[in-house]
Amino acid sequence: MAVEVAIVALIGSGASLIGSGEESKLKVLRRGVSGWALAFFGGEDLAALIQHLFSFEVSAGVCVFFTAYIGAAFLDRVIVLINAISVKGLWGKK
Amino acid sequence: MTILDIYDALLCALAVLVCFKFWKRYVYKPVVWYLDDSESDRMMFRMRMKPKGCYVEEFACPKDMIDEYIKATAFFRRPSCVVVDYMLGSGPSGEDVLTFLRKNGVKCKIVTGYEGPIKGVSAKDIIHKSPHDSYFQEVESWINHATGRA
Repeated sequence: MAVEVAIVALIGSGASLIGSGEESKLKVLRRGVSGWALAFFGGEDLAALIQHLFSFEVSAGVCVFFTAYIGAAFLDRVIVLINAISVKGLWGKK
Repeated sequence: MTILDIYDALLCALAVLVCFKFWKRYVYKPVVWYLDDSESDRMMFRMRMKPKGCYVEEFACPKDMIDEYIKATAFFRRPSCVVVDYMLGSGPSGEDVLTFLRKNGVKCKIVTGYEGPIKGVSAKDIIHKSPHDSYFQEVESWINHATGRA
């Protein structure tokens, strides 16, 4: 059910925001929303993929939770990496 | 997905919270970076600074720092805070480094011996260098506060 997935994704994205109290509100919102969206649209598929690949069943709730929790941090790191690589190019020219 | 999956997720959230608190309290050691082109200032920093339970890494130029930053980001080992000298010789200035780090959510403070006006950096982001203990205490107290070890 979509409502349950949305609730679990909300729990996961909420947990991923622990410790980000001093960051800007926009950044926190971006991370929360991206984590929630990743989990809502991809969490259950990930559970099915794990079951298919490793032949053991993972609770869909756990999978959706960890997708929201880790996915947001992962996306954040990718954005930071892209920023850092572009800045490295800029600083190299100075 | 059923209602039981919500309970699973809540249990996971609880476990994650407990692990996070334990890791933060007993395992995690914050990393502090110091960027200064002056060898003598880096040596003084090394000798006089004793931030509580932190690793301190030093860099002589922003290009070395950005290379390390890319590696650190990839391996989830980003610095908790960075102390940057304002005058970094040729290449990017301390202000450029401050802007980049702030944009990426890293706490940063500028240190400088320059007494003139500094454009583009708020006065509260600057600590004036001096050979006195008060300067090192001020930097150390900021580091301890930024790393949550105050």
